[in-house]
Amino acid sequence: MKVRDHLNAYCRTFNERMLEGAVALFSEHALFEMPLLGQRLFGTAEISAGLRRIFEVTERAEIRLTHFQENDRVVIAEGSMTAKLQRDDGVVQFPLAITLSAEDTGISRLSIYLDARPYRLWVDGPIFATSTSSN
Amino acid sequence: MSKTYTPGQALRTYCSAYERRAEHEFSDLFADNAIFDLPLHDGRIIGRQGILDEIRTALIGLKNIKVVLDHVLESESQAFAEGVFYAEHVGIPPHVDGTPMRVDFKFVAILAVEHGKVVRWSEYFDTKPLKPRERTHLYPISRLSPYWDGTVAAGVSEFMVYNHMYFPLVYHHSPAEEYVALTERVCLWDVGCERQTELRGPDAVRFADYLTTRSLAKLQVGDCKYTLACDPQGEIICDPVLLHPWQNVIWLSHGDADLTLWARGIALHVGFDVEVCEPDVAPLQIQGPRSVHMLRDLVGPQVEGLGFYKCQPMRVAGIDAVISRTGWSGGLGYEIFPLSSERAMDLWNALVEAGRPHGLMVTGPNVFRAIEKGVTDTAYYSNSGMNPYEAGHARLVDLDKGDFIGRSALSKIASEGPSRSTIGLLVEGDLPLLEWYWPITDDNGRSGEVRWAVHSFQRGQNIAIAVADAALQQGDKVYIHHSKGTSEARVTTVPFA
Repeated sequence: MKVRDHLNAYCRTFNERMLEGAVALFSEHALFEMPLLGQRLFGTAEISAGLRRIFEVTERAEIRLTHFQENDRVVIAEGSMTAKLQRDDGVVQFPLAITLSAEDTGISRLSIYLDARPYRLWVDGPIFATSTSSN
Repeated sequence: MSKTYTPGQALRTYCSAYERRAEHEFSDLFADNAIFDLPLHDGRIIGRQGILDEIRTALIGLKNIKVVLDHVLESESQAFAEGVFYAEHVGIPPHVDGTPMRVDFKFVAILAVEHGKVVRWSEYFDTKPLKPRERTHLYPISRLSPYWDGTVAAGVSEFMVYNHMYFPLVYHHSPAEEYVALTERVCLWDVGCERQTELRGPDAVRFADYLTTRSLAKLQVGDCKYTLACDPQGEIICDPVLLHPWQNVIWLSHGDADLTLWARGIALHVGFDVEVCEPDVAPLQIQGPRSVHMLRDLVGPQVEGLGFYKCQPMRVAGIDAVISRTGWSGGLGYEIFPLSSERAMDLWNALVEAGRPHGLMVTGPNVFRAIEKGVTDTAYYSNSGMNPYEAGHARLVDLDKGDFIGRSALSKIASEGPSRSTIGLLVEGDLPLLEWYWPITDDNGRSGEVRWAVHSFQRGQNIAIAVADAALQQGDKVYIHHSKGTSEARVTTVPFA
């Protein structure tokens, strides 16, 4: 599976709010960076908790990528995210870039680059998985 | 012939030039109609010159820059890169523990090249960790400026309490951005805390003459004067700008001192026919070389005829005000004194809108430029016991004008000569945050104290203003003793610029 395929699969599962499907794309000790979550998340348990939180605070959220550059280890893409938060009346849209690295066992790193400052209240709740959480 | 670049070459040239702060190396990198899109800016910058101006400003405000590219993916016309940017701010004092103020972030940069020139440069990174999350906490015992909503919308984050009112000082810009805006464009300052001590009545001018140190014998309606109010010991209380906007009315537009209480108390016990009050007049300052163009658009051509240290009643956006050609930038600028705060935000909004085509930036008063120009403030004299001769203000004392408060003490000081003087200091190396005045010494046992210190963007080094032993001469070496050790400095004159 090429890195680009991993990225497309992630976007598809994210846009369709498929928590388990999205988490299954990551390797066990993957790194997930999403500024709107406030912290870097390590491992599938934390990534699962983070994605669950995103799905809780949004009615819908969709990533659309428009340009890509890749080699056999990494893909960098740019595009935008459109989201409707539960708490807000309107829809927000903002530009973003994504860097994804993969290994045989799945996505090893997914870093999302965007300016979270205008949207700093996305995460007003716990996002870290506890030791007893499941994926 | 102009140099051309592949996307990868352009990317590496940009990063390398940034690290070396080599401003000239950016000059042929961008196409004339290039787009520059960074989250730190309010919007896209379109056009080569605007991009170069922005890069120049950024380089003024950063040092010890390092750019690490982790991944570079390149095609014939585009490069995508992921990396980390490291730098230290210039002009922001370090944290209290001495560690520098850093601006470090991970980013993705995407650029497109056509005919060997960059036509688009976009960066993606999170500015949230780079800027304060919210303004400092406030306490209701101090007043809010009538422009409060405007300053909050402009992103104010820090205040000082000044004349019992919150004074917005720090916004979400770097000091370099604010310095460039002031020296090349125009800035709007909320100085609503700069209160007016109004003297009204047939003896208004005579009473002002008694309260302050300069002669007002030749004062005409429409004149302004920079003057001093001293106590009976000759020590400076504050250094107001005196305005005479109408017959029988004087405004002493003053810094952080209870001047109205002082004046009212004196008026109760002397025989002048005058009423003393603090009117609801909250000024704004429009400072910078574009200020006259901006105000001409809003007020009309009469503003161009307003002479230095002159004032005149005018209407600004339909609001009655007095405009004076005064201010705290040491350069071209104006102060607007609306006659009421009822429509304060209408005035603010009209000024912001009128300033938009001129690149107006809402900032606090710029202490960097003020110190370069030797423009001090009441805060310079406070807690110092300083008299006008020590402050370098002998020209502001007219001992022959007749009786005034402090005259006897000042006559004695003038005849004996002051024991201290105000000096400029050119400082070697970095300085910590100035939280209280730093003592200075020299090899001959002479001493003094640094009262203001900043980075000078014009000189590219730290500068300070001190009150010190009057025997210190230009070129003498002194030692500044601060919380992080000792720094060497050379004595120079004030102003620096």
